[in-house]
Amino acid sequence: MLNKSCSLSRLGVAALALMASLLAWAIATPVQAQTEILIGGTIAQSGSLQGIVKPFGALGQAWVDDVNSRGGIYLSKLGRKLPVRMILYDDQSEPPTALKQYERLATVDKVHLFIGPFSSFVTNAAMQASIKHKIPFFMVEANDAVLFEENNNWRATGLAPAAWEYKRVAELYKRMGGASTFAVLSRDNLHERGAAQGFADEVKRQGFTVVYKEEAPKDIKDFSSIILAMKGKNPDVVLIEALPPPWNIGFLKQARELGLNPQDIVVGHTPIPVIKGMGESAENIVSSLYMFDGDTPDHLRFAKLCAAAGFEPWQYSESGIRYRAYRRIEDALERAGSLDADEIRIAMWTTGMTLFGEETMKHDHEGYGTDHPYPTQVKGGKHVSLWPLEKGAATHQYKMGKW
Amino acid sequence: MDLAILVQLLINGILLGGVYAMAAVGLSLIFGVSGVLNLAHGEFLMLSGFFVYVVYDRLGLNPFLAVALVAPCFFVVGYLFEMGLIRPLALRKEHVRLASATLVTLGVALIVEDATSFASLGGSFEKSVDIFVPTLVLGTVFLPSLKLVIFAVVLALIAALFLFLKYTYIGLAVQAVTQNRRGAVLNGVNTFRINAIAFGIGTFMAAAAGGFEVIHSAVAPDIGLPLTLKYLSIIVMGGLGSFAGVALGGVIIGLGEALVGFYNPAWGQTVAYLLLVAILLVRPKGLLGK
Amino acid sequence: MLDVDRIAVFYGDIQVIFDLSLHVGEGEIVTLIGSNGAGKTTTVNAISGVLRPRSGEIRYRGVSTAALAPHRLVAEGLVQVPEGRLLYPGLTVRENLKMGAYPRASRRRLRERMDWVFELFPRLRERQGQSVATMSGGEQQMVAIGRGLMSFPRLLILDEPSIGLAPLLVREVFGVIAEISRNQVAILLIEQNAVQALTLAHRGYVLEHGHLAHAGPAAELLGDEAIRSAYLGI
Repeated sequence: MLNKSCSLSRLGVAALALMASLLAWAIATPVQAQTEILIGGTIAQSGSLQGIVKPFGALGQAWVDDVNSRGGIYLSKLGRKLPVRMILYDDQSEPPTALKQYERLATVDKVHLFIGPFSSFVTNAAMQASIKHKIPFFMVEANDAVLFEENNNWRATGLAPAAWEYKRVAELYKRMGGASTFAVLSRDNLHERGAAQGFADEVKRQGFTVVYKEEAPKDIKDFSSIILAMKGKNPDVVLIEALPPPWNIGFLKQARELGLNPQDIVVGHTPIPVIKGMGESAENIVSSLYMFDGDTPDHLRFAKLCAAAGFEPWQYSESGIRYRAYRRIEDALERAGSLDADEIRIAMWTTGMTLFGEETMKHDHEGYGTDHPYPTQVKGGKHVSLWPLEKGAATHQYKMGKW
Repeated sequence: MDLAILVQLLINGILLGGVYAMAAVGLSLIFGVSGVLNLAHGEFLMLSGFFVYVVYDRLGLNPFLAVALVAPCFFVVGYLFEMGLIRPLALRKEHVRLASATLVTLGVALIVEDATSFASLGGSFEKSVDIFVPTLVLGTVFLPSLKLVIFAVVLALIAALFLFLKYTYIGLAVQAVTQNRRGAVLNGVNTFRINAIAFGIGTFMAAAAGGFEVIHSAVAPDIGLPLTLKYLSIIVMGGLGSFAGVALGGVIIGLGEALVGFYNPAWGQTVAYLLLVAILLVRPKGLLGK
Repeated sequence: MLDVDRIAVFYGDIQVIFDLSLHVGEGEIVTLIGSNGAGKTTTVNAISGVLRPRSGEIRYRGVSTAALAPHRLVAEGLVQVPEGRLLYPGLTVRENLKMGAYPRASRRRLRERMDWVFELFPRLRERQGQSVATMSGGEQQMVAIGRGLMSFPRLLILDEPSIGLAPLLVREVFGVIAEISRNQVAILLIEQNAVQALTLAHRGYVLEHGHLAHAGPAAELLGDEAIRSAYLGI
């Protein structure tokens, strides 16, 4: 009798102990990590960059809502879909602020992955948090060479290097014919120099001639001498590469005044203030945006999300880059199948997905991607897509020096 | 170099210099009278440009009319700026006063630039007025009509300032305070009020320049400090105490930028500072300095 | 007209004027003499409101000057012709004189006043349009005094008017001062040239290291042995 009850009580104690440890293990494992996918990032809702990215917070939320409307993202290793939540802070266009906020996202909010802020210089600061806390960093609007100086496995960008920026513009002129000499002016900044050089190289590769190529400092206000020099070379196409602000407007207005009348003018960055400032003269300016027309699922989805955020894609060109970043995140999570940082990171690097029916997203060993923009033309105060090439060649009209 | 191109560059340079001259004369007036280097000068230029744009955009006024409305308001802004921020420092010892006054203006400049960048009226950060006046073409020389109109207005304003200084009592007092402040005190001049008036006039001129800037080019929050720096160079080059010197300095820099910029845009910007050094080596007091 | 009542003046923490009292009555010429550094100009600047005494009071026509800014005192007729003249080098003789008449009330009678100044100094009439920077010391001194007269002063303070002038000019200047006094202007004359000053003045004060050393009718001071040897070089 005594033996039987002793072994029973031992069994009971063992069972209790087992249950207790199971309970403890269940409590100790952070339940939160398994119920939602937490994405963290910052976006400039104030400060000098706000003009470019104002609606991108809303765009992100629209994407989150869209994903969650289908139940979330399927993670194979968990065997189910998990909803997404995105936390975005306002980095005020300031790198130190951004870094602090990414730190907070890592340590307080405990996000599973980062989505990058706008611009290379803010990204450069934010990246430090990703390295420190080993959280995968999906860079967005950032592709300055300085970001890739050090080997860093935790981040990758969807953008191609700056040199690719005007590749498709050069291809368009090859396709269309009607122009053979090119003048290139860029601001003497790292990114602009790279983009302008890339265009010049591409133009030469297509068999054309670069008759004028110059860089000018940021603070220059009067372009008369530059314009006169360009006129002297009689270029068919003039390309201006300068990030906003006021450079482009100053150049265009003075070009108009001084009778620079090329067949075409390409202004890489023609946001709304430039179109407004030039009025009628903005007609037929060629530009380069991260969007083109089509009806693939990506096209429809992208348009839908922008509409939900209250704008049309051409009004905020970099929205295309944002959208591609969301798709990269979806792709990486699905292929990783879990919320493990390393698995997500590897999945990020090994992507090869097709976007918009014809782009292949791939990363090179440094971390660059393959995103580069498509030619557009300003018509009636809006940007109209000049891609694919056949459609672009048919739609495009030479400015023919008409202001 | 082609003669036609040279003529064109000379014209460009003079037009450019004229616009520089106006804002620089304003800064020179402030410095001459109160001894303060107003490093916020360029910010007033920028703010005025923004306000002119807003008036043009929201009320649909002719841009030049908008300048005529906005720029005089900046006389008041300059006047109050002196009274509120600079005058309280007047009670300190001389060398401390000038240094701290200049630092205060630098602080204001940075704050204004930051705040404008932050607030960004209208959601975007660069403003430009859509206005086009067809260019006059004489043979192969292009005379940008808008720039000519602006140049004419600039000349008129500088002439008006000259007349004011020479033929009104307050203008005479401004000259007096510039030339001998202690003497002016003993002649019954309220030198504080003259300081404020100088700030008002100088700021008005910067505001006019800002209005013209948004008309023929564009303004953005960060244009202020580089412009102020350029005006300081012009003032030092032209010689302190001489408006004619400032105007001449402005034109020289305009010409230098145009001529050198034709061959190399980057050097065109640097040539301003090279000219400054060269001129100061030959004439340490500046071109027409006293 | 002017009552200086036991003022103490400091430069920072250093006291330079000690318990000084003096008085200038209507129609008087009063002179303040003393060696370099005695504090004469400091006293004069305190009277003009440029410096503020730390203690004591200055009364002009019965009213304390403590509450009035320097430019207000000028409008009330308390005018200083400073040591070193402080003319406006870029302006002409005429323009300098015009500035002397800056207070509003004087501006209305500008022409009349300028005519009187040209009577006192005929040479200035000839050179009205000349820039003062190109004039000799003596001519500049005339401009300075003329400028001081332009605002109808009731009390005119002259700080070292004869300094650096040739003897002939000195006599001319003193002659003009006498003429001014005859036109109902009280005069406070600061002078190194003590003999001429005491000869012209009604009363005198002697300042030594910021202290009032002697005071009295001018003739008495002229006759005083101690003063003669110390200041008159006799």
